[in-house]
Amino acid sequence: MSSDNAKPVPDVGDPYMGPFWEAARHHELVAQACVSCNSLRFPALPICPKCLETDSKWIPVSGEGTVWSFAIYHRAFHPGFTNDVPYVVAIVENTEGLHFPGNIVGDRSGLNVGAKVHVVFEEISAGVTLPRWVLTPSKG
Amino acid sequence: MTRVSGEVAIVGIGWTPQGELPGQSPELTSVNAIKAALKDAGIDRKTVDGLVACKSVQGTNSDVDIGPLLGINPRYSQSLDYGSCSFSLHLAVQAIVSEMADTLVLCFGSDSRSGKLSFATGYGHSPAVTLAHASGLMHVAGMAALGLQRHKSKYGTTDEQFGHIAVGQREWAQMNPLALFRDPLTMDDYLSRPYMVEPIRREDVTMISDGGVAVVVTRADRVGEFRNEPVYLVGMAEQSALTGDYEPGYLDRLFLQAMAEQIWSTTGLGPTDIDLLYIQDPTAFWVLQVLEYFGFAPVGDGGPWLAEGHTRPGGDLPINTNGGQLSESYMWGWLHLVEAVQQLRGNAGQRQVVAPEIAMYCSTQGWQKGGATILSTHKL
Repeated sequence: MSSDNAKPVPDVGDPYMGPFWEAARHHELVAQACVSCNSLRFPALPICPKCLETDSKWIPVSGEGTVWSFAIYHRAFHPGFTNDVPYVVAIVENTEGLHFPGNIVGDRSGLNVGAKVHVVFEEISAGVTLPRWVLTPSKG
Repeated sequence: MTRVSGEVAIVGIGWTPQGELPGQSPELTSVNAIKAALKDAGIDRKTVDGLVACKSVQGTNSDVDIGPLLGINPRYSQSLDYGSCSFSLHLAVQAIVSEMADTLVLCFGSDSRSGKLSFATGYGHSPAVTLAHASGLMHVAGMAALGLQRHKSKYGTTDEQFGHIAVGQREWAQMNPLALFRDPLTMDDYLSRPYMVEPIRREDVTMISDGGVAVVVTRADRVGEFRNEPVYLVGMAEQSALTGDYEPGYLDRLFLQAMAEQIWSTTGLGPTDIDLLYIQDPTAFWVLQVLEYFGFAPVGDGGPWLAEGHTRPGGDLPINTNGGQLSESYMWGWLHLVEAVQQLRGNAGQRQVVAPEIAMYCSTQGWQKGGATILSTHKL
């Protein structure tokens, strides 16, 4: 890791995860689907661990989910996050049961395990967009 | 009782100073710990016909790099990527019962503190920046915070209940001259400390250390050749969860339940048989999970159970009486094994528990593997 203060940035041209980052750039949440057994997986793997077939495609998945858990960082373990503390990282379980790590942004009131969230997309550097999550206000 | 019960005994323990050992390689530190363990066992290294090296966190300290310094060519020699102490100990037991070795020395050496190893990297299998890492999910404290937050939300566990782990281990550490953290830590102190990754505080997380540990094990019918009272292995179990962080919910570490079931069913023992409990604790949350999954407290009730004081000095289930990795030193659990032996020998000084007979040690490699071992002063 470089010693500068830039945030760690994913390689959007990565052969496995590239399609995910490309979709995020277009504000679409996707996961890898096994062509043989249709099971979904995230992050990408070069083979389906359910059926051991290698053919896969990326398909849009639900940007709605609930907070599986969350952590509030009061300390920056990487200089790129120094100006962000306290920041929230959650694991979000989307409608299909996939788990996505990501920041909870916006109003945090009502943040808890099980809270409803929906995805938003934020460009963190040129050409690099992260899915993040916003609490969905409960109706009544 | 399992077939391996009483077949193997720990007959020597050794360790180096902990903290910062600048300029000392893990291999040199290992050999220094081995010297101490051989002295404790009362044997010459020529007696050793097996070596199991536990690689350092950075992947150094393999048997072939220790060998030239140690100056022996035992018939059996292996390295484990993550020996922790249960995995190395279990491999040694397998070597002994399969007659590939009679007397083995197990070692661990680390220069991770002076080598400035960082816990701050992302977690995952790829050195590439992942979505998790780019989102700032890093350091084992973050993973523990996710796990604990979920526990708090599901079961109502409070900071004060959880704080009994760090506070209790500090009370034990204050009686351990080897422990790096011996300043008093009251519950009020604990609760007033800031969160590092909420709901985890600095006091709930280990601090990386340099140091080495070694253990001598032998065939049970050879124990008379050694200086100390033997400590027998009476049960062991391992369980993997190799799908790791690709498995949704991996931080719940449910595989520990399968490991618990194995060791209780193969030994015929249960939680009430255990006099002393050792749990490898890079974070205090790992302790809470083991307590519940092994049945020491009902799942979800670990918080209230801890608040009853069972685990602290004077309690009925002392845990990590060395101070654990939170207060003693981060030796990947090796010093927990050493402490279990010290206590069972009755040599634990000021922190000695009254006449313990059975100790259990549980260690985990994050969310991917675990091992459990039961030790006793006698064959069961």
